[in-house]
Amino acid sequence: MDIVLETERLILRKPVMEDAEEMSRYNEREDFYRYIPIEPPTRDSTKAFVEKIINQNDSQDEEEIHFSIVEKITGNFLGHINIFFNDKNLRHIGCGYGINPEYWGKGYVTEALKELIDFGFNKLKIKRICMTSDKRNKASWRVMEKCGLKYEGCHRSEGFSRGAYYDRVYYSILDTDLV
Amino acid sequence: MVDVVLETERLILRKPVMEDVEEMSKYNEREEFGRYLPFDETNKELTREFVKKIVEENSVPEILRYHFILIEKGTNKFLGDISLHIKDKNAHKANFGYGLNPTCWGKGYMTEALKVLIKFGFEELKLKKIWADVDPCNIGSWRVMEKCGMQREGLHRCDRFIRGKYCDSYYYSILDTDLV
Repeated sequence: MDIVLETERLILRKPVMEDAEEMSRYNEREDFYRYIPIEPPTRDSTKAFVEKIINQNDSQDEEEIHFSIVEKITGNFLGHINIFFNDKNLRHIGCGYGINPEYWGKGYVTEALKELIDFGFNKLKIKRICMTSDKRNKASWRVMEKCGLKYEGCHRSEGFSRGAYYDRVYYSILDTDLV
Repeated sequence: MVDVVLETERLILRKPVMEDVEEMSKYNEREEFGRYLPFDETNKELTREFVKKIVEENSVPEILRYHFILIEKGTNKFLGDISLHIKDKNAHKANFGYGLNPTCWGKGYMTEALKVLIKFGFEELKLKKIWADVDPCNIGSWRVMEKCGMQREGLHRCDRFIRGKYCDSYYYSILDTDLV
């Protein structure tokens, strides 16, 4: 699937193998993966990840759609955002993202996510978008709230990552929330 | 398999057998029984398939789904069923489901059964978290959970689709550390 989305400052385009190089510049940083329930990324795992998302984008079932986030003016690679079907019959999707910490606090993810939400409801005819985040990741809560998602609750000890349990917060937005 | 039998003041929780189809069929086609359950219909044949499934799941070498039948002590009356599903073995998490003959509602039977099931989950299976989701309109069901010390952790909007309609759900859980 070859979709390109555009916002005021960003281009969301399909990922390519060269993105692994860019991604490696930041995703081994502790502040980047702190709240992501994965083993700390390495050069190899980053490559494998980019390979995987390219394959998912090319696959016929369209269960997951991935985008690389690129800054329009500079052409800089900022990060990655994706949507995935939690349940195709129910038109339920989830979203995930990761962005270079150098670009945090500038509203880029909010801009990208808003565009993706719009794409989900208008093009994919989604009913519900659900997002979840490590409770300690307050910046992520704020992104979701700025995009109009509503807080649904906090599941205690829901996640298990690198040897410890952690709480997860849940947010959602429904097609009927938009007017 | 290990033949687990749990016991409470008024109940025996034993493993299901094929003969349970008869008893279960006496109530599970009733409208009030199925009102909040995500099934389109229930009939004798589907009940038989259900019992067959739970008997089989209870008989595998490494059990991930524990099913129990609730029997009233003294009268030997068949009251309903309850089961615990280990969803994520590494994270030690499980959820549960239950059904009770509507003629036996309001007597605290399911609260008694769930309490002993939770105890079994934490003490024998060494679980970290036991959870369930429930239709917010099914007040009887989530009150059972609250009486067992479970906490409501969220209201998820339109996250289920039952008989042609989107429905919300409450998410309840109890952690091993909630028990003192």
